[in-house]
Amino acid sequence: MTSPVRQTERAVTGLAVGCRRVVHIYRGEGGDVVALAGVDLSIAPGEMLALVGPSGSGKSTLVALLAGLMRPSAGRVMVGTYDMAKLTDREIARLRGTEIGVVLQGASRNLLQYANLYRNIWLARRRAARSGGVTLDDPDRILDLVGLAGRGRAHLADLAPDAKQRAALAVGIAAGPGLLLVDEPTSQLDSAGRDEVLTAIETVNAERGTTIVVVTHDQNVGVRLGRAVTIRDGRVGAEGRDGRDFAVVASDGTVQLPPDVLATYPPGTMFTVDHDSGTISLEVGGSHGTLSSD
Amino acid sequence: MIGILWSMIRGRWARAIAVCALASATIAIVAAWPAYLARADASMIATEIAHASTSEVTTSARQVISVNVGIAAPSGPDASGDGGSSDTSSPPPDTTADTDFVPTETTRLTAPWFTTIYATDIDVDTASVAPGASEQATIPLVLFRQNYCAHVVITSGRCPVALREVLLDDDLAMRLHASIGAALNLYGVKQTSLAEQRSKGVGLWQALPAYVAVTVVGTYRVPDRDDAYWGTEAYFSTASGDRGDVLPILTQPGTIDVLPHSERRENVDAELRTSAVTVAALPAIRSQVHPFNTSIPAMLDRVDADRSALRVVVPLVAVPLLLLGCFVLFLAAGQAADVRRPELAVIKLRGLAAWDRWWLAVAESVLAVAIAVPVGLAVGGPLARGVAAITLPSPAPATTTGASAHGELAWVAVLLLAVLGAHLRPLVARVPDLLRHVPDRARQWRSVPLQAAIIVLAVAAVAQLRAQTGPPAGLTSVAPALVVAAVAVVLGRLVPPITTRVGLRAIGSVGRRAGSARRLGTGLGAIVLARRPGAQRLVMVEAVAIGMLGFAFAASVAASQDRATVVALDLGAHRVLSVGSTSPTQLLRAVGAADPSGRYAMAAMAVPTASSFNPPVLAVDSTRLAAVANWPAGSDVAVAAAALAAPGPAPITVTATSVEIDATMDWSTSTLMQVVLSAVFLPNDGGLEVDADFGLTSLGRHTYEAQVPSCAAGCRLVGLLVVPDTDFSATVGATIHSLRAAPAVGARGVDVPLGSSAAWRVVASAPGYATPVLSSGPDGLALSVPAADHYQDGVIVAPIAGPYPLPVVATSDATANAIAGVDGSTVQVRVADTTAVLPRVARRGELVDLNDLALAMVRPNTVLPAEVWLAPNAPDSVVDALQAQGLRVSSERTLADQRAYLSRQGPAVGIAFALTAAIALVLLAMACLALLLLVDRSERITELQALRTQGIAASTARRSLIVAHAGLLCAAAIIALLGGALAWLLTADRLPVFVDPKASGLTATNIPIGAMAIGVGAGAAVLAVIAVSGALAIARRLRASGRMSR
Repeated sequence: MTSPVRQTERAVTGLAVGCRRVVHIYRGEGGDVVALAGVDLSIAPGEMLALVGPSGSGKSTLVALLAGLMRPSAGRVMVGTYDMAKLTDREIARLRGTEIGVVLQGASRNLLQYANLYRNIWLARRRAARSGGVTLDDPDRILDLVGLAGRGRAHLADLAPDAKQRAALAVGIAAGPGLLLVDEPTSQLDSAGRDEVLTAIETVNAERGTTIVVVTHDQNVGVRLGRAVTIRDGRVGAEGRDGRDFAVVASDGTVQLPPDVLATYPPGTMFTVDHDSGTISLEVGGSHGTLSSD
Repeated sequence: MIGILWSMIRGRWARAIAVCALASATIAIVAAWPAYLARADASMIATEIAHASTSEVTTSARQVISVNVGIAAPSGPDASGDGGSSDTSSPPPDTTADTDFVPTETTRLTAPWFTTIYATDIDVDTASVAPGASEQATIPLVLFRQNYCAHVVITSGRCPVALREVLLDDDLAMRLHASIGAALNLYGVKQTSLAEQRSKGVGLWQALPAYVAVTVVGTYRVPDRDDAYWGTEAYFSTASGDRGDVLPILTQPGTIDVLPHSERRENVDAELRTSAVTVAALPAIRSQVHPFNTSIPAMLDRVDADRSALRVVVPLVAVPLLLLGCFVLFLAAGQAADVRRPELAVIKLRGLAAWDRWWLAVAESVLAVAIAVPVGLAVGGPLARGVAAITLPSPAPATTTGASAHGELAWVAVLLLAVLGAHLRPLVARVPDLLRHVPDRARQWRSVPLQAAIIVLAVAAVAQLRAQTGPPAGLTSVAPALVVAAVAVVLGRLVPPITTRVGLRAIGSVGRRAGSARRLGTGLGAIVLARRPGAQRLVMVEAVAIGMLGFAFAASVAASQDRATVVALDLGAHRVLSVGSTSPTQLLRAVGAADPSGRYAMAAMAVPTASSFNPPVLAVDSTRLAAVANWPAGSDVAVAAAALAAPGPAPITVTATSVEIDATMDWSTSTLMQVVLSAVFLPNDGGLEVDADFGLTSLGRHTYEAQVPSCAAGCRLVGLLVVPDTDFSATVGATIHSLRAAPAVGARGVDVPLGSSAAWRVVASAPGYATPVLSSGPDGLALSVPAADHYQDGVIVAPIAGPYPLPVVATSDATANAIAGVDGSTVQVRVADTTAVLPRVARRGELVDLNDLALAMVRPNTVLPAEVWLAPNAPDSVVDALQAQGLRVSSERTLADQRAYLSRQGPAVGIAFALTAAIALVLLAMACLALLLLVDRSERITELQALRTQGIAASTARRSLIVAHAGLLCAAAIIALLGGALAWLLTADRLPVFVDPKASGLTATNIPIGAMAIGVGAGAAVLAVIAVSGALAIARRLRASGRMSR
């Protein structure tokens, strides 16, 4: 397997991603559900990012919007130079066949089970292959990239769980996308399997400069990818970079408090905000005056 | 892409084969339809030709040629050693007729569908023959027909090959004591006119002096007088009663040329070649025979009627079968597409072009259909022909019309559309929707327009069917299926709420009552049935299939009963023997002697009517009616027989060798007038009628005498005949003072009691002229004949014997008060009883007693085609006894034969096809059920595994399976029975599958629910096999997975 290299040492071919006040609402018989409530997010080309957060926080919804599988109810989703809300279904399909790779949660949902890996890869890059001016890696190279060298004739049922996930990754990158969206690639894998998959992701990013967005519950994945954006209640709640956690100011000026802080200062708690020389301090105050900081 | 597709099909070969099999079956039906029709056409043509009378398969051109061959030769038998034989080297006959006749007619009839036979015949007299021969004149035909030796059985000697060689029939040879090698003098004869007979005292035939001696080289008998080879000429008929019961003398045409004769008849008979008559040839044959006087068009009409009925009945189930085939394929492909939703999501996820997405989605089913087309076409036609070859007799090869190719293409297109349509929804769905496992709640409403369309079509079809007078066509031909489908649609929608209610109630009672596990299983099964995607559609499909099987089976049973009833009525008895032509008196005597018990045989004769507008009349021996005839249900044969057996005056009988009549004749002396007076007697011993000719009468009162040696043993007085011979209008009066019968020569005559004029009736016919009047006077019976020049055939005054007017039992709409009578005279009748249906005449006609009719005849020697009806228990010895009495059985019809004939006609063949198609419909539904269970199996197993994980017992899980499957079939069976019954109620009386439903008591409201239940039950049982197998298979998998998890 090719060893990972630092992002700064190779040419950037990935697509930038930008989300501005993205809102998505699921319509249901029992009432509407707000999945995303104003997400602001910027991802640089060639960057790796993990979307973390509890179940139902909106991570997968955000990825689905980035993949063009759904349209946002409001806000703007930009992939490269494309405004996803303004593209037609046909254009989005072309994008998914060429510039956006999608790996859904559960390896089997990404592969045709009756076909071997070669044929799955062939199918995944068919659209890109028909587009002019694109040079695609051959299937063996792609399999090599994800650590499945020599397994091209294997079927999904023949593979171990981590290999299945890497196989799914292989079809995700088969078309040489500038943006790779991966949903829960390490769930239900042991630590060794998880490492194998993450190594494959890092290799893809290092070799191709692909922008990679990984949805995960695993904070360690975020740590390993270098940037972890926490989605909470449909918003960007925090962001961790290189082991440090940050609160994030949204485009409307809101900032989500960390859950442990929120447990101490419930909704309705009033603060005064002071900032000085790059330092922001919050002081509990207001009419109630019953809350106090430890 | 080919590799992907190959992987796809290899990975799911069972499903692909199932879809292919379904499509193949549908295509096979498409191919089988025209193949079956073609074969059925050929079979029906063969059946109608085989069942046709001779006149319905032959046509004849006949020419009577006046000639003068040897007539002028004045020599007699004593003139020389060669007798008066004419010169055999004489020039060709002096033919005065159109000599182009034969070639012209032959040209018309030598089409490839006919075998033409040339024939010529003349009349001769064999009165003077070899010593020892009978002296009674015998007037046979001398006949030549092409290839006649192949159609007779040579009982001795050989066929004639040389000039003056003849072949005699056995009876004639015996009568003439003519053995092989004997010489036979054949005299020329001519027919005399009535005036010549009266004025010269000669018979109908007058022998001429010229003769030619011929040599008898063999004897023969005819195995089948009704063989179409003999054409329509009455060579074997003795209807005129003036030739004696002899068959023709057969010879070569050269011999006929040298025999003395004054006229020769030439025939060109054309016989249909059964093997050459095809559907394509029917119009040409009809056109060819149009100029001829033949009944071939009547036979062709029956063929057309058969074909029309077949084409009305076949679509009854065949069209629903094809539509259901397409729908089942739609369901199967749709279900498969549903299962493949995640796979389609992958395809969409990879952003493939639209064409690639479509192709990957539908290729599996489209390829299955593509393979199914040649397979179905290859299998369907031969299969239909094979089945038809077993069930339908056909000597002719059937040809399929080219029009079927268009039909096959159209149905292939429909199949492809069904397959493509089934994939439409998944293809346009979004990836997230495709990835969901939650059933689409909007799905159940998508089928509403289709279901509404079915109901609207059903209503429209029934309304149109009830309104139109012609046979069903187009939409109306599938009205029963639409009704069943509409019922399935309406009641099918009730299945989910009802099963939900049942399921919830069963689950709700768990823990509160005993048997919780059982109720839980029942509840879960009911809920599964209610909520399973496609379960409602499956119930509808199964209901339509078994509903149509029930309908078709009920129609088949009812049609069979109808045919049996109609045949029994039409034939009249269990067996009917045609015994040639004879007189009623002779027939009654022969039958009475053959079956003195009166339990096995009955004489019957169809009485000729004046026109086809008159109701048909059948004369039967009413004393045997109850024992022998098939009497229709609902009427009392004893009452009818009693009505016919009314009392009447006894006949006047005499025992005498001579009779003497005392009569006063009166007519105008200013006209030339000759009046002949005679009395007609019928010997009691069964002999021929005796005409006691008193000769020409004179004006005034005189006594006339006539010899009647045949009445020495007793005779019945049939009537007195007055024949005026005049060309002037005048009134002739004849007063009969007395009629005396002398038993022996020289013995004193005994007065025959004549009675008053009320005991007599006048029989005469001169429409538009004053009728003769008979009155009683002090000195006897006075007959006045006005306009005598119009009564030159004579006026008969006949003593009334037996009931008169004749009592008849008539059907409700037979209102004639007179019948023509077998001898052409008019016989008054009165309706003694009425009934709805009568044997043979069915719903329009009359029955009269043959004994009474014989007494009412004024020419009792008149012969008619006679029948003997036999009871089911009649021993074969009765037939032998009938033949011993001189009745020659020319043909026999039995109930079984007639039923077999009707079962090969269009309606029966059509309903048989409909039943077969209904069985195929159930098999198709069975395949649909199997396929959907197969497709659904893994998901069902997953659900049950989840339930087992939650603690549900294995027995409960099994019960839920059984309840779900059994509930589906029960719902389908109930809906099918209701749908079939409603379809019967609304459409059965308009379907052309019954011969005479009124006669057999079939009505729409009289639903054959028993037969329908059997059909529905059989269909449900077949489906239950699949349902149970499916449930067991799932249960086995569930057990296996349970063991693995442990």
